[in-house]
Amino acid sequence: MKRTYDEINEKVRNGDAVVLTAEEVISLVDEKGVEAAAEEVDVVTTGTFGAMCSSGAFLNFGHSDPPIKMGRVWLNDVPAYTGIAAVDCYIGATELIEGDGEDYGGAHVIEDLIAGKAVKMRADAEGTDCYPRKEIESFISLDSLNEAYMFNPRNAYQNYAVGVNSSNRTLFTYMGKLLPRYGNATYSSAGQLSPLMNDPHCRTIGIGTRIFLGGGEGYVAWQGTQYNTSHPEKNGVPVGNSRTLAVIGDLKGMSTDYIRALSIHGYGVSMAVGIGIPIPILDVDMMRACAVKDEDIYAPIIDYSVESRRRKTLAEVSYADLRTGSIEIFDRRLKTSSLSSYPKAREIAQELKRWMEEGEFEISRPVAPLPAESRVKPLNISTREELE
Amino acid sequence: MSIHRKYLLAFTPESAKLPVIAVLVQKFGIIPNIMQARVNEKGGRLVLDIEGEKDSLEKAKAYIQEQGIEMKELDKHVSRDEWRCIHCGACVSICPAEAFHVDPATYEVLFNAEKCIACEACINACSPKAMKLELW
Repeated sequence: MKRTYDEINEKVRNGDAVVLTAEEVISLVDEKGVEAAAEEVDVVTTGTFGAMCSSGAFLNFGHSDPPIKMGRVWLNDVPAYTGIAAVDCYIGATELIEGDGEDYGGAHVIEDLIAGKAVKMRADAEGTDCYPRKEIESFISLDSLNEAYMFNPRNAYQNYAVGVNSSNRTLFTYMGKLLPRYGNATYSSAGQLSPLMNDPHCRTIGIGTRIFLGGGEGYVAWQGTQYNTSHPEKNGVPVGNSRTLAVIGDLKGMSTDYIRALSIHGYGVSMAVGIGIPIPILDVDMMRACAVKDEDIYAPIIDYSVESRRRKTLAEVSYADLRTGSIEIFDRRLKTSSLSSYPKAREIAQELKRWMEEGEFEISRPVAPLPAESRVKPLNISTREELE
Repeated sequence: MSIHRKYLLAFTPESAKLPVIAVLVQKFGIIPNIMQARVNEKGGRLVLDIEGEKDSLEKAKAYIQEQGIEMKELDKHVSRDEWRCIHCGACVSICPAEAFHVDPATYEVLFNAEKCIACEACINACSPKAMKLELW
């Protein structure tokens, strides 16, 4: 059985593509077998909705009169990066509001913009012959901007760790609130619904792949930062945080249903990003990959009280076990918390399925593949001589 | 028929000296279960589960309020902003009262305010800031 991208798109355009979500396809494969399922299904849709810190947006304000080459810029008092052209900036999701407070940051600015709210913009500059203005203050909105596009350097992590805490105090981490003495365990993956779990070696996901991003259309721009292919696999899926995607998409088509600012206590601000990727069933192997279920996907349990990047894996646990609400390690029963939203992941996979069934969204063949092999280097403190 | 209610009581330094619980038991026949008690220089707070006849509960409430003790039914202490909640589940494992649970079919996080003991552990565990403390 072979199927091409063009054949699938032809069916999408005619409204006869058979599209199932990565969850729905599991029971189909269980019932009919992988070969029959591959014959029947054209596309499997995936979804994930969780904290993705490495996110942000490029904005272009347009030129004022007299014009300014912004030196520093603030949006609702959150600093944005403007070390690019005169009125371009990048607002990073995790940037915090100036002054005190971890409850408002770049992600909130992005959420406010998508919600259609007016945002206070303030900038200063040195002033040049061509850009004489030295200060500006104005309200802006998504409609008043020229371009506004999200560009997220690292999203959609393929698997991640499970956080626990062996110390005697509560830890507030990016893995949430970790209670002392192994009081709970937290995890963050849509597991069987997650995009990169269903195409674990990125056969169909590559540069240029059209995706669901934040409620609108986006694209895979590049491999995500810290793209890692070196983790051992179990049932064909890497155990631990592996591949990642850099994604791009127009802020103007997005919705606050699928982009949500987060304030992670004791850590800072992050942004929940909704991503869905359609996986074309090109052959039986692709169907086999898409039939992966939570029972088959394992995550390493990591003790976040160890203050080193070399945290050892305490044990490995399946997402099926994590989703029961508790897991057992060292003869203790730990209650579990998911940090990414499974209902939202489901909603995204369903929404993308609907788009495809209605012929509104076609799949795309990658322009170039993502790296077949890539390792993550640590940062070792070095001298110039050691590096040159 | 006897009923259960949970209340949060806020005491001033003066009212914290009153033997309120003893009065509830002796005078109104109420069965109190102290779920949380904290006293400091600013007064104190008590989380009480009380059981008794509807009539006696009303009288007990009136008595407590007459002593200048602020009283709030507990299912309104913490509330959830349904739109901000993304149904992740961060709250589920940190709630000592097990007031949150995940629906096995929809995976949505259900909040049972009746189980809440007003410990506030969910407030800083909720990163979308859906769990809110009701001010009073």
